[in-house]
Amino acid sequence: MNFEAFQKAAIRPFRPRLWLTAAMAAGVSVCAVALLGLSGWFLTAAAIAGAGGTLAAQAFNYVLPSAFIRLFAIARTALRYGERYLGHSAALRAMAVVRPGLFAKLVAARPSQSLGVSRGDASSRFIEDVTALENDLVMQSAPYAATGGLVMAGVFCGWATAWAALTFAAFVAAAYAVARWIYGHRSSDGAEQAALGQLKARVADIMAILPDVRAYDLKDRLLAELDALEDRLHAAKTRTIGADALANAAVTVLTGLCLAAIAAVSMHGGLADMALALLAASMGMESLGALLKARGQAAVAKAAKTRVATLYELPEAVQSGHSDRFGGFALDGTLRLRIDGPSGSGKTRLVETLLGLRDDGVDTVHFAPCLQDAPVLTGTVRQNLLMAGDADEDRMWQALDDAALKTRIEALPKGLDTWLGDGGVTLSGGERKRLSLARAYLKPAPVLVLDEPTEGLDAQTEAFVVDRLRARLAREGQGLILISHREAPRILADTVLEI
Amino acid sequence: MPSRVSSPADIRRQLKTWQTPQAARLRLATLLGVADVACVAGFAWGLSHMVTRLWQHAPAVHLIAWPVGAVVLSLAIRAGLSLTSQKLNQDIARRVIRHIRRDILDRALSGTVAAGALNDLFADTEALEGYYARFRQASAQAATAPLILVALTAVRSPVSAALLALSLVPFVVLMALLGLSSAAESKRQLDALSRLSNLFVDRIRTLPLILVFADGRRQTAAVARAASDVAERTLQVLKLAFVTSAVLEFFSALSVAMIAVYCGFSLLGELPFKVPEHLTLGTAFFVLALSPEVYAPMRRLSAAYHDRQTAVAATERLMALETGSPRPAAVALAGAPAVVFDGVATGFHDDPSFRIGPVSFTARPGAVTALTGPTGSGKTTLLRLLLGDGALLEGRILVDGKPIDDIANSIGWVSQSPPILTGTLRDNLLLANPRAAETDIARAVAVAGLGPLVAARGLDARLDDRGSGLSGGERKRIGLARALLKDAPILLLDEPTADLDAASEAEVLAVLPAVFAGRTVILSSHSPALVALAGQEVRVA
Repeated sequence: MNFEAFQKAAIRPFRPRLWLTAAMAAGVSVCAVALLGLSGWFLTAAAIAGAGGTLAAQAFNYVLPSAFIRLFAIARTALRYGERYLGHSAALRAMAVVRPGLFAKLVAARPSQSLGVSRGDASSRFIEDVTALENDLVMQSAPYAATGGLVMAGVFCGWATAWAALTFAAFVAAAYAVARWIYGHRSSDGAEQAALGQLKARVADIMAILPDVRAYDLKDRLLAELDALEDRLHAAKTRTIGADALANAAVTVLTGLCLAAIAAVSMHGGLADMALALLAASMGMESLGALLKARGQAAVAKAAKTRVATLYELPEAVQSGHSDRFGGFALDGTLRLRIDGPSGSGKTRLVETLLGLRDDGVDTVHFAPCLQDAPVLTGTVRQNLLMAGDADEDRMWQALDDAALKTRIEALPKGLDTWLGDGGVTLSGGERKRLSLARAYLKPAPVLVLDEPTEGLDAQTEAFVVDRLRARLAREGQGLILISHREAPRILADTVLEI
Repeated sequence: MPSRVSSPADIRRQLKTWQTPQAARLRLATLLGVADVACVAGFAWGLSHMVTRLWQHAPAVHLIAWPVGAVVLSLAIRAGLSLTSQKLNQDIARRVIRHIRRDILDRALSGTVAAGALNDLFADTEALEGYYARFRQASAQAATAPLILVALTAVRSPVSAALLALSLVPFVVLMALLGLSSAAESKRQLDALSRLSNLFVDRIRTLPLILVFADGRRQTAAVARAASDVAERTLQVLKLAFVTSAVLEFFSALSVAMIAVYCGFSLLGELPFKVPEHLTLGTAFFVLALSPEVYAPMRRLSAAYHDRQTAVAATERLMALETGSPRPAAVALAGAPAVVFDGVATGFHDDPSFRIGPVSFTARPGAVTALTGPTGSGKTTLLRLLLGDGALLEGRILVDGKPIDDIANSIGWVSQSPPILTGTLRDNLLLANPRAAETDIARAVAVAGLGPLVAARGLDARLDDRGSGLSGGERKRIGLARALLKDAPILLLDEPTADLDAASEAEVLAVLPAVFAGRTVILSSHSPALVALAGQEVRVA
């Protein structure tokens, strides 16, 4: 499924709400135009009746118009609240479906592709770009709001004379055409994003060479270089805002001309009707502004959608076809393999390839790994252990004990529910290693893959861990693939693969 | 790490401080806002005269030419003003943003802001655009335009002005109450959003782990929970915003309706109470045309309110960056010093659960110390500490017995992939020492083994910042030549022979002893041949 189809499916349950939102938005504009137009009519008609003497004044039916004026005022308020609430609730809840869907696709993508995505890139798509899509969804009612206001203004103009209605329609068409033309010629689709992207990329490059900047005093030179990139961004931004502002200005000028034309064609009819047409037309043209604003933001949403789609549409991982053998070795409980080679020779790379992290799909069947850089999930100890599959507390404590981490975790006030990482307990390199080891122990798989499992441990603890590991391998009937530059664990292996 | 919490007053002050250099442009923007009100009045005047004249006389084009002209002209000027004002405000916003960014990058390059804290620099600075380009102007207009319009109304019809003013009072009170209660809600919403963002970034970081443990489903469920939490909390915040906008809509509609009904009944002569004024159709129409404009600036303000909230959240994070401690004065070292790492621990900003060390060793003056250890064990990070890059979490570093100050100008540095700047090869060498003589360059070129490159392309060959056309070995040699030209008492080399083939490695190894002579050298390497050049080896786990 491509992103387009997925987004549609995510929005589908909220469609009725969105239609209702559009109807209410149209209602708000209708009320705004009707309120001002009717007020103008009422004033003028009242003045005429008032001037016609007491009799004419008493014959003037003021109940109905003034009741309608109040009705429009109240309806406008209620419809506005409804439109805003319904539109946003639909958009927000739809995006609460889109975000996990996006994450799920990322997890399901080929590791060779998904692991190459930069964190900053992925998170800006996941947070900012999806928010842009959300705003776009909210903005979808804008054309209906504009149409409602324009139609109501057209009807009021037609009430005065058919010529006024025609004049109004012609000016609306002209305003729309001019705005379209301006956006077509002035908007710098993508130039802003491109300039910002270049600037970001250059800053990232420069931050990577910070020691050189410090050692060779390159600061001023690099800042000048960044300044030139800022100039380009500034120019692109100015161009975009220019299109928005110019379109709005054009509509305002055309509104003035439109009112003059309406006055000219309707001055021979009733004065009250002319007042109605003039005020309705001026309010009607204003509702065109909402449409222009939506148009201005459509480009932002489109770019966001393209970026999210590239993340969503990464090729899917292949889950089958993992062999039961690795080279000449059977991947089962009898395996006791050590991979040897000087540092930098690619042992870790070999392990990552074996697990499928550099390929089209991860082998989740054969291996229970403890990775070299021992990543820890920001979350609780329990959440970290549960990654290996559902395990009861006894098994968790057993695994922690075998990894020589039990006493450390027990001593924490919240035990297994202690938060690790940002705002929680910080583990040392060795402790991270042992937590990773415990996690690997909890995963039921034929072969344990341990990359430098005792890195950062003192000799005594190391001996304990190796002892327990030997016992575990026998008890669980698990095989072992080991990388270790340290002596103690190396004796667990009976076969050596030199690379 | 950003940690300091700023009060709302601090944030408001900071937003004001940032705009101070743009004072002249800001005054002009305010002036344009006031001129806009004059156009509104011109428009209303034209409309009301059009109606009055047609009422008093038989319809004829020449009668309404002036008022119609006023309407068209007012709107045209208004269009021009709004065009200028939007561009001006956007320009102000861009200038402010540039200024902040330049300031922060300046400090980041000086080492007083940690590089890791810059992850959100662009998102946070760009988030200020709406505040300076829209909200500020809308808020200035909302504070002045309604009052000017009510005053204008009062000149023609004091009773109508009183009605408008009366509708403004409960409106302002209600807005203040809603504003107070929404502050706490929006804080909760921003917290939820930041939790979601952190969760996502963390799960991308640990994606390899999630993949090998086939834990995608559980993690997706966690993301789904956080995402729907954000949606519901945002909706809570927005509900208040919607009430606000409904209240605004109500008073805006109410003011028009009240004016219409009052003026209508007054013109009919059917007012149930006595008023101290006699209304004409012209006045009534003028007042009616002004009335929707009284609330228009506040509607624009409400539309831009989101810009303000985004900017406040961003400012809070940017202010947390501001608090980096100032760098100590630069110190120049006389000769090759002793460098002592005493229980040094460090870490990364984007992975707080990871730390490196503690590591202890002494690099003796004029001797070579090699740091070894697996990839990712933190050798580079330890070297970078000496250049003031990175956080010293524990322990201390002593240079000639004193705690480390800014000694960057006493350090020669050869990174894994020495950066190439756009310019000539000579430029790229001279940046290590702008005062170096031709003979110094020639010597450095010869010792670093750059002779063949210079012979082939010349010292004035143009290079770009991707280093196109240079081999990995040539880049390394440029790095070595820089270190030679700088002639600093401390030399740090990060994997000087990594990624080189055997022949290039041998060539680089051959020139190193000449480069090392008379300096305190600390290098990181996997290469046994290189480690053999060192007087001591320190293993980093």
